Amino acid sequence: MKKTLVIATLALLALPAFANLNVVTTTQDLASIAKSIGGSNVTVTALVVGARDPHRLDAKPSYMSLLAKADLYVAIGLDLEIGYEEAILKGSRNSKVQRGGKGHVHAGDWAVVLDRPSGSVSRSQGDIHPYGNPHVWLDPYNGRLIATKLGEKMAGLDPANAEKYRANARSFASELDKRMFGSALVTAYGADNLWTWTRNKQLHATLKIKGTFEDLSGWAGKMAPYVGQKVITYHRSWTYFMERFSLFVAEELEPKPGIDPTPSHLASVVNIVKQQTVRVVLQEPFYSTRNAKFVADRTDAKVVVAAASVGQTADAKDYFSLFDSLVSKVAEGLKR
Amino acid sequence: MPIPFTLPVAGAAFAIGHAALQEPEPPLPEPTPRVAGLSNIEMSMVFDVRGVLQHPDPDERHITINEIEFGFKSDVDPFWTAEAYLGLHRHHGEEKEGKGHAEGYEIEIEEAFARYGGFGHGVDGKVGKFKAAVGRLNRNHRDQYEFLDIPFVLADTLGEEGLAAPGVSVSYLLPTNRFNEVTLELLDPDDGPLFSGARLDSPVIVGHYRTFFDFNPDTSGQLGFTYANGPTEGGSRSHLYGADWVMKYQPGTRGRSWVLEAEAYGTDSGLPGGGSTFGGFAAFTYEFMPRWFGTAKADYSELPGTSDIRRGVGLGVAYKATEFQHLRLEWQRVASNLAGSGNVVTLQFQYLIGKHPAHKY
Repeated sequence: MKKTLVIATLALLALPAFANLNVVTTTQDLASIAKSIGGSNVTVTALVVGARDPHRLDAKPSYMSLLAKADLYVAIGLDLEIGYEEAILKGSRNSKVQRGGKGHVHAGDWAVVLDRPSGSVSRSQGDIHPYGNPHVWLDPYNGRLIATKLGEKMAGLDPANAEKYRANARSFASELDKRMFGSALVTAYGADNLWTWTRNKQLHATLKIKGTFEDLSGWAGKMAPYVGQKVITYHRSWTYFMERFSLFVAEELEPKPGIDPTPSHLASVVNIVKQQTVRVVLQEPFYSTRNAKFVADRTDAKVVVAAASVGQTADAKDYFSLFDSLVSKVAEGLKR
Repeated sequence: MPIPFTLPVAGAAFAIGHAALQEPEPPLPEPTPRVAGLSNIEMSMVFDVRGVLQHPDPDERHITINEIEFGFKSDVDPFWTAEAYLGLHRHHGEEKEGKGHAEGYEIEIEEAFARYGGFGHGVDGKVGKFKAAVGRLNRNHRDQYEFLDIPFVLADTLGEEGLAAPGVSVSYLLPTNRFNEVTLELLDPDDGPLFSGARLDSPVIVGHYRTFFDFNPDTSGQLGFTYANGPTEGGSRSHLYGADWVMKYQPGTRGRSWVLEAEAYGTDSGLPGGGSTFGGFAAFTYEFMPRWFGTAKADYSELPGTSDIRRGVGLGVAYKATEFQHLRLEWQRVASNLAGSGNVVTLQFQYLIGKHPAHKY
């Protein structure tokens, strides 16, 4: 009996400690940010895995089971998850993660949102998002905002570890700042100033006046030679990346959001590429490259297939390496 | 045109990126939450337009608006949500002199229920008229089918539109890692082929269990079992036993997805001499090109209380240009012990306006 008790006690001690917060995110980008902030105090599961279009997910019953045990549900919102969110939240029967619940988050509400349509919106404009473009995570500044707010959210849900979450959120932001601008400039001017200059499109000019433009490294440094370059994208999912790194979207392969490329539209894209000297046709890995190659074969543009989310390619393992991969591929494509 | 959405921003980026430093700096856009407001009722309309190109009965060869479904959905308060679906169905009217075929339409409440999510502990309930938890397909609206019409076995056993009835439903999500759900329903339906004469003190009782398998990120399946019993004429009760299975392959890249779905039912009719019947269907849908879907389907149904057996095989092809419309061409060979056999070829155009459709599993 005594021996049995000892074995049972040892077995219990050998079990891993339970996490304080069970977090379910829709995208792997949000999962990566949540893991960075929550550390060992949270378990994080993403619903969208691999190279998958985040618009086209079924409301799988297994998602309901995941959400039934969740303390925190983090989605992008802005109607990105419109096809399945309501069904899986209701199916979970978990009041914490329902709309209005303490554990329900739409990270898009914390981000600077672009492409908010003005005037009336209808499906004649394609599968348009009336609250704005939902691909907010492709601006690292939005990633920084989301991380900070998510840290506060976790702190509120798990007050015992509040300071850890806040500290991790600060570390995440600090790492992101260094990767964006390089350590030297962050040390010299502070991240807040650098982001303010970047968001005002005055970063290059300011650094040139101060004589430190040569110190600009990181993602901003790698993309600096290509400011003002034009790019063709498959879907309207790259707006935030283009805006942050001061690139143009000359045209999209889809004639309207969510509508497959047509021969006549592709012919017009070919003309745009030729007339405007576009160097890159950028697309996600889950689209066929047939249409992009059609354009590239008739012009000098290169097809660049890059991850638009964590997990879409092998090298985009987390939120930082997503931008490492994306910036490298786009810069390589634009190089001549 | 997408250009107006991106050019102004990018144009500004180009101009300012090389501009000299100016003071004071312009104000920066800050995160702006969505404009708050009381949610309106979410509405949708699904139009089902059909042209019957071939049918054993020449009077059926027409183009018609087969059905218009109106959907409404909204929160009632923090505890209840309400949904209603009204169907404007076509039915054959009497032949008018000199006018050949005539048709009319009738409005039917397909579903109108309120759902309560405040029980907690994995329990969910609804009250009103709703599609019964018999198998998988019976719960879905017709616009979510991969083929045109309800399978024979559901129509012959439960009624022309399957089983939807006023009643109460309670379902429980088991606290397991795998999805396991049990549903129990008490229903008071109109008379149908199997169940008739239901009252509040003699309801149709439906029990359904389903579980779900994630084989890998691309492949998944759902298995369900149904048991129902209810009154029949003469005071005895009939029994229904069923199994349903659906398996889906949904790769991340577009195209090559497939869905295999099958349901089988056995009945013990309470009618004198009613005996037992069996029926089922199986369908396989394959996305052979992005947005192009081919479906093969087989149907078998023994009609309760008769010696009739209906069999059918069908092939269909659908082009789903967007999530909001599709064009479907379907051929079906139908054979019946009593009514003979024939070929039916139908062209369907279905489109939706209003609320974005749900991606149900």
